[in-house]
Amino acid sequence: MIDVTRAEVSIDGVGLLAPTSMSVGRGEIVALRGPNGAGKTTALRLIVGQTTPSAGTVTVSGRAPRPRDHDFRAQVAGMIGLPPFARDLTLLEQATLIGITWGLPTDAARSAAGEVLDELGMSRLVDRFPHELSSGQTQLAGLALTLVRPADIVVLDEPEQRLDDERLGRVISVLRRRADAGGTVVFATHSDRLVTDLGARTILLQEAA
Amino acid sequence: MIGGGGEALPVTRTPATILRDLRRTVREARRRPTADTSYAVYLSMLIVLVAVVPVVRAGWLFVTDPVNAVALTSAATMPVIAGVVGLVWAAAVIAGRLRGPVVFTPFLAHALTTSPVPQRRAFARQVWMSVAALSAAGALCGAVLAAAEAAAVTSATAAAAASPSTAALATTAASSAFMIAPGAALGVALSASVGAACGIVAALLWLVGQAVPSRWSALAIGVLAALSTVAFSAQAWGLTFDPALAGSTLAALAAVGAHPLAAPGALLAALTLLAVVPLLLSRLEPRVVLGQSLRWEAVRLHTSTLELSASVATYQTVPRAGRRRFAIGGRARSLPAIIVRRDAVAALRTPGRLAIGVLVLLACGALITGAAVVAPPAWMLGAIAGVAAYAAAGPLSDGLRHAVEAASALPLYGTSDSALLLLHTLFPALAVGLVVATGAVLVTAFWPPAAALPLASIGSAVIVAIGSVVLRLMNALKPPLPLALLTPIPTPAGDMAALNRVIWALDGVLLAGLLGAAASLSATAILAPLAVVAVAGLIARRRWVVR
Repeated sequence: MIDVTRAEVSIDGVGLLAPTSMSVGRGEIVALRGPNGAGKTTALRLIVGQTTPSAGTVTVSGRAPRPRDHDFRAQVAGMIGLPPFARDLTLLEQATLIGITWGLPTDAARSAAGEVLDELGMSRLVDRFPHELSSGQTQLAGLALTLVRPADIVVLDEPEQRLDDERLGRVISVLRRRADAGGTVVFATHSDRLVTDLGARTILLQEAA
Repeated sequence: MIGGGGEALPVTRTPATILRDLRRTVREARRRPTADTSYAVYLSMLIVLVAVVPVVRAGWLFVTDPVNAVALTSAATMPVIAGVVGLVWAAAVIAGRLRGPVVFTPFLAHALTTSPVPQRRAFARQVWMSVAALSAAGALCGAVLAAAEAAAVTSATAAAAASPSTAALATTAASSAFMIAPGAALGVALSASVGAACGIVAALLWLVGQAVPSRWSALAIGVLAALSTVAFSAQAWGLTFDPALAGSTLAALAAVGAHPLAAPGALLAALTLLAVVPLLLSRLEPRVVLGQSLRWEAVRLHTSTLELSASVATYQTVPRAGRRRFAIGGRARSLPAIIVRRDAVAALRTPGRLAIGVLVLLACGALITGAAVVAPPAWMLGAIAGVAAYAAAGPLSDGLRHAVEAASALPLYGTSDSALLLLHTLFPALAVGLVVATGAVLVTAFWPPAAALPLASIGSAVIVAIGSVVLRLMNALKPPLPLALLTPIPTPAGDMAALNRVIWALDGVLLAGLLGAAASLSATAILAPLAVVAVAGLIARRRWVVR
């Protein structure tokens, strides 16, 4: 499903990602690990098409990632940093609108949005605007907006950021269910618990020379 | 005082030494190399010589022109001046809620709000600096208006002596000259004093806006705005100035209302507010000072990189109301209808901001349509209306900005970026167009001089409305400052690259002014404003393609 073959990224002679290869199959959970600066986020950017490799190749379902291509957009959901929140919509409204744009009827989109927010322990926060959330709640809200949309592949950069143990447990449950339903999950992390509880295959990245 | 080892330390530092040391630390941290300082001085002198001096000269010539001077200092103008002063005072309170006079660098704000120095002492310097600056500005306004009046009297008297046909002008000028004989220095000094008092009141109301709870400052804003409205409509209420009692033309400056005791009133208000400054400073919440200082630092940084939209967004009102009205769905079924409803409900969630935007748009519609039949140059009124319409379209264009942000992030929505962007232009285009057209229709229906204007004059107002939304789109798509604009352009007058950067930063405002001016060239101007809209559209398209 995801094939990375000796892909590397460098800008003006500065290496951001050493030559890296990996292959991720359907329904697999893969964790990218390594020290700060090893290129974990850069590798994720390659998969979602935000960066192109300086050398080597990256394909998703046999094609180069193209974020403006409708089929690719439908296939890959990702959160690298926080997503763009609409400052004038509540969480439930934002999540509902995302569902509608993917073809769900309004009522079904609202139900689906409510379910995802509930799974992440945010039922009491559905009527809040983004600026009314704490940093941990904002992280959860970003994950909710990313996970409410349909996708075969979910790409996340350090989803554990700013979360307490209880909230991290909820995120693990949601990602586990996603994989059980046939979805592919690729994430970068520094959390041992996330890797262990999800039973993720680990790919260790080395710092670029 | 307890030291780090737990032992008591002798307290030897007074508030004065603490303040002095803190300020010295900040000064040294911000000290720039001599070359930088020299360049800043050179740049400032250049700006003063090239930009400020011509504007000041043009303003002086305008004010001292006999016809303008008579108009500015006539009894009929006084309530207007008084109303403007009232609005300035109300604006000072509003400004204090966002960015009061007591603002520091974040470090100094933190250090001062957590230091043992009493607030009334730690914050005093900022207040006295603002008082000095605004009283000087007020005094300047007062002196200029008094000098204008003197010029009017001199000119009109001379003209009357030369030609009996200008006797009417002389009579008008003389009637406006309550007190100031030609060249009377005392009159200028008195007028400057009243202006200074007004400036002091403005500076202290600025502090009031920062120091008192928001409900009290809202009350103060309401009272000042109401008094200002009374002043504006003084003639309609049958109120008149009594020149003999007023004592000075600039008594009007001090008046929030058309009252002969205006000058003493302004002085009394200034003295009263000065007396409560220590109390206001003591009550000033440290979190307010810290928050405003942090926001101001963010604005300073954004402005230094010419990201003016980000600077404005720093002070944008956040929604707190209307969350119970679900913005998504309702009776809307199709995606365009859902997005239009979403944008409309979202706009209602900052009602104050929306109300101001709608009122300004109504005024813009009236101004653009009515500009063709008023005395001042129509293009000037049109340009002002165009810029105001561009600014007022902001509260109705939040969805547009969100669509642009979404387009540059990982995909969340199932529609394509371009489709989402187009869907989010529907509401602002409809709303801005409708409100501006309403303003245009109202002015032709209820203002007799505009009754005979052709239908096309309303059309040009609508073009300005749609153009404002296109300009909003263009602005939302603006990328970071292109590196090419940092390339120096040496000329005998200095580095002109700065001019390019300013044009780049203000392109939306400049095109908005051009759009309004083009629409007001004549009552049936259609092609010229359409051309400006087309240019804005092409720039927006270019930015979209290379995003």
